[in-house]
Amino acid sequence: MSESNILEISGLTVEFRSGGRWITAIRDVDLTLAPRQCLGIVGESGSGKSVTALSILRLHPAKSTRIASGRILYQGRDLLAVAPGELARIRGSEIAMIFQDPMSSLNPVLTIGEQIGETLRIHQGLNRADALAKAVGLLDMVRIPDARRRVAEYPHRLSGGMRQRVMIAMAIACRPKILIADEPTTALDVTVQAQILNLLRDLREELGMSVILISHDMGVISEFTDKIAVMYAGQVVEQAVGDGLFDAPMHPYTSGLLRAIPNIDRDVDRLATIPGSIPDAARMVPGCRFHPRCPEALESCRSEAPAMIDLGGLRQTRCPPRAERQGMIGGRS
Amino acid sequence: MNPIVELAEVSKTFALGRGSRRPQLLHAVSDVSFSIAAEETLGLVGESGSGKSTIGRMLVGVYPATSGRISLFGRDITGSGGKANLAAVRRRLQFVFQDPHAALNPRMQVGDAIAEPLDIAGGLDRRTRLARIGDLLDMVGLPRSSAERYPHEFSGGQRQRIVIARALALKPDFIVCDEAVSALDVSMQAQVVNLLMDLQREFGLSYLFIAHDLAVVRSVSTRVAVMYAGSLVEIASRKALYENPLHPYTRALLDAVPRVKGAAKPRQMLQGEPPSLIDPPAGCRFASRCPLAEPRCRVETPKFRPVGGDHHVACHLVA
Repeated sequence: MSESNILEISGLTVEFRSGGRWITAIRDVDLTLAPRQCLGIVGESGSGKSVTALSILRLHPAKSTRIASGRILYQGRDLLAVAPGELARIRGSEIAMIFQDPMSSLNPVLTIGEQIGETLRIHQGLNRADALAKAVGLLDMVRIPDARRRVAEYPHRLSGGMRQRVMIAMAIACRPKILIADEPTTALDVTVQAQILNLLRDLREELGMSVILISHDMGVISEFTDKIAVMYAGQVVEQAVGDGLFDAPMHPYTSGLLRAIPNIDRDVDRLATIPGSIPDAARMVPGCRFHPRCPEALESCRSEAPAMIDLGGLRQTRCPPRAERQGMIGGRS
Repeated sequence: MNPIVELAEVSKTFALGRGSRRPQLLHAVSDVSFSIAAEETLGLVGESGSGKSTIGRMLVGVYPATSGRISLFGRDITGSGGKANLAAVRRRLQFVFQDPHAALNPRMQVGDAIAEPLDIAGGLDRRTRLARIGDLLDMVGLPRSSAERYPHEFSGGQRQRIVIARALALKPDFIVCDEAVSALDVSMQAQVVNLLMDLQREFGLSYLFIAHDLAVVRSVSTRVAVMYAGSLVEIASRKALYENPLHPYTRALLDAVPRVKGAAKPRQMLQGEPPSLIDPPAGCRFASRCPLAEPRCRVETPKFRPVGGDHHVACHLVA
């Protein structure tokens, strides 16, 4: 961990209340984000990627969620310890978030201009007219054609892609330092997805933002991010910078996932599969959480919960046997 | 080779705001022709609103076609006598939707859910019925004990297996899979795709595999059809379609898919969004977004025509 990171998550464990008891949703998550970096978090449903993202701004339902341990340092301050008023100020103005479904994030009875303006009036104290004028500028920035007219329209008049652009305009209204995008293009068609991803990439450069992109799609993660964390069953199992993850995955889950993705550039007659399914969070398996599905599992994997192993070069894996086999560590400590 | 499914110039319009002062027509599918052979999988791709699901629904009789002809197993289900013809072939058709959760009654045991088509068809005694449920569970790779459990006890991928088992109950010849694996995680998706392909080999099934995911479609299809804004723009063998796409829309679509380690390649991005189907533009429907469009593309509707082998395309600019 270094001083130069804008965000450092360490030892984050989050629990959900279910049927009168607390169930661990994510355990011991460590992640770092450097200025202007784009961190990708990839995983299947139930892996904990969204829980991790929501924890940063504490957007979970308070009654049924608790943060059992961990720190989330934003520019050196622990977001888990700041006062609610201060957290409200940081939300939206310094760290902003966009979600998969823009329609459920937009208010159907307010015009787009009013909704973008609201952020500016709250965080920057602008009056109604100035906020609206600035909203037009923001719609231009997210490349909504004919912004002056669109600003007076209601969300239902827009396509899914346009609505996501509006959400992005709201998110960047106060020039945040970090943008968290949780499956921002999953509900969109592929040609529109390409437009939105390009837009995010350009805005990140223009505004000098750091981005956390959460996706189940390895292609999206590969093209857009410079650092990747793979999550499985509530834990980060592998981390890498650049293409290393794809060239030589260091965790059997990553390998399995990459093999299971159908290839658009090659005829394949049979897809590789990962047998079984993700373990239930309420009945978490002992040892390595992937061992029941792992073709490389050893006897020790069934009982010993593996710690994250640093492989150097910003590479980490939670699979000691594979790290040993690759000669990347001498032996287990 | 006799096609089991044949569409000839099929169109479907929906009346919107019926009873209002200004009812509007939505042209969901316009002049679509293709066929599916026995034991073949035709992949049908396109973005939302392209009309692919409407076609799937017309093929199993959920929506009647507005015009054109649809034949199933050689029987015309459109013209006069269409209803009787559809009833005659109905048992040979099945449908698997995207969301297995919505397709299963949460209060019905899995065994009863699977046997529902058998119960409606009737004529099975208790023992035969139980044996058949067991066989169907075997076929989709679920333990026989699943029969007495309820849908919520299963994962998404397992639920989709249950839905597939039910679809197989009456031994169909043709199954429409509409985004059947889209809601599943990658690891589950691969399992279900392989299951569908095993079942095809074993029972000689034909599929219309409707999906927006071009990579999944490549892995399952024999041939692939591409739709845009209600029109069929290209159809070809999977190899030809993915390795030599001819229609500018097909090319843009394939190009837009993000690839693992594909970031270095700058792509030509498609601008804008598909046109309104309430008042579709004259000429080629893709013209407004096409990087190659010429003046005539905006006036003259391109014919869907063969360009060698079984490759067909609707574009003025393809030689």
